[in-house]
Amino acid sequence: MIKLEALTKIFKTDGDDIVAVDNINLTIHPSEFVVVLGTNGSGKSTLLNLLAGSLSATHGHIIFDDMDITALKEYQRSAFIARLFQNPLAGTASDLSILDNFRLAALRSRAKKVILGNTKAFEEQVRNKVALLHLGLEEKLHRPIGSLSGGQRQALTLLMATMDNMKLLLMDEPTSALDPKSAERVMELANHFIHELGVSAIMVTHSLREAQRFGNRIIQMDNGSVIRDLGETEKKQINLPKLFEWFA
Amino acid sequence: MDALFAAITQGLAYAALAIGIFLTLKIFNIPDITTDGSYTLGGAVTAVAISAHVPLVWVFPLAFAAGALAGVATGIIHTRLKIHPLLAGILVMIALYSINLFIMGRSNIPLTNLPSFFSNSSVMNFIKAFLFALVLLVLIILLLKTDFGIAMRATGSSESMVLAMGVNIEKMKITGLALANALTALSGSLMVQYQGFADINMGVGIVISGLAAVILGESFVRLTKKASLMVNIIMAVAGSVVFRVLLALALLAGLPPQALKLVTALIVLSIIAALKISFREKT
Repeated sequence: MIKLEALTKIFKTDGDDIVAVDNINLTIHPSEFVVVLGTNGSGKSTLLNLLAGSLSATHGHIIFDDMDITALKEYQRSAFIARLFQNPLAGTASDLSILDNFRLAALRSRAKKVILGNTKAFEEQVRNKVALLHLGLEEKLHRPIGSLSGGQRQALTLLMATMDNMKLLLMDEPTSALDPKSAERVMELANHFIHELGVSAIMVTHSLREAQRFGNRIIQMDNGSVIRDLGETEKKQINLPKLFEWFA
Repeated sequence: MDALFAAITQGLAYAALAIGIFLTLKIFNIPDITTDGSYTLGGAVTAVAISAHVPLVWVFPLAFAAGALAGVATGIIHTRLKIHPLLAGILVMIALYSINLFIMGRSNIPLTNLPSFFSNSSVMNFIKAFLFALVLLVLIILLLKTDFGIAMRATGSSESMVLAMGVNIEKMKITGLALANALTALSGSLMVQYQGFADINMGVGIVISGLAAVILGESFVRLTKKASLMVNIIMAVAGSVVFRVLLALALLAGLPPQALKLVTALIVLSIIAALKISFREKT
């Protein structure tokens, strides 16, 4: 369970201070897939970055299974938080092979030791996993991941997240840089893993269609605050025209 | 002929430096020029240790450790104080000039009639330098293939990715700079033992040797079109040897020694320009 307590982020500027996230209180349960909507500048991405640890909170606390993680650094939080970035290039290391990328992902919560971990057995494990994508990438494990398309890389990033334990999956507009078919594949895959692994997930999106189709909770942010918060039953009743009205 | 043989041996002695520059420039994507200082540091520590009759087996570890410390200093200045790596490197390099003088106690230490890794036989010296470079190559390639090495390589490739994979980037960069400068110091140690003296100015402009080796290596890789981590590092070492041979040939052709650094700069410039132009044609 993840609890945000009076979480606030203020950006200091030369002029007025900008309150990007304003005193947010939120509880996210295991297996909850939260979709976050909001206009540009509403604080969605800041909220996600506060959770990931790439930004530090000005006030408030983030409690993860009764542990206060507010002071933990981004790389320390990676032990239980996996990320899918808006830029498909950000979640993988271009110069490294698919296999090396997966090796690192398999060690997300552990120390990277001076041992040769890319064994035949590990390669076989990755091959089987990558074959699940049906993209034919299992035959290209030694190719640099930079030679793949954005859609392929985003799908692999998602798969890499499942190589090690996670409690929370953070997705920041994961499909906005992808073509419709790749976007569909990535979303279906994300949905599948979230249900199968029973993890919590938070997805920021501008796609109302995705927001309507996926997730079992929907939140709208505006000016750094949560202005709408619908649970599973309410979310089921929502349709696209209604979502459009939220932004009218 | 002797001059060319000596040039090849020197090129191999500079292999550690080339691998060090390869690590910072190609693996970590950090332009580090602590090199001039850490190279001399390795030489200074070696000369003082040998003069004090420290057993030879301890000389390389000592030089390695000293170079690592220099790299740690640059790394801490760069990561903790958020200072550009070039500036961090320049600061440490300048500071090392004084530190090296403190260590040496004077500006030149001759090592005549003292033990050395090398001997009077140029064939043996070549074999020793070759084996030294070979062992280093194998160790570094193995290291880069370990889990730790993968994290190292990823750090230079995508910072957002490694942070999301639980890697402490600051620590990783400090470690990388430490390793690179430790290798550079090993080259300094080898050269001091090879030429039989240490000099406070021995490191001036040495970073360009490493740079030339790495860039020459890159052009060989482009020519053979067989890029892989292993090939790239081996080619950097080959680049180190070719560069020394080029310089020796220039001297043999009657180039006055004072023009050496000018020619060095021109060689590096022409290779970079050639790489740029051939790359532009492809894209």
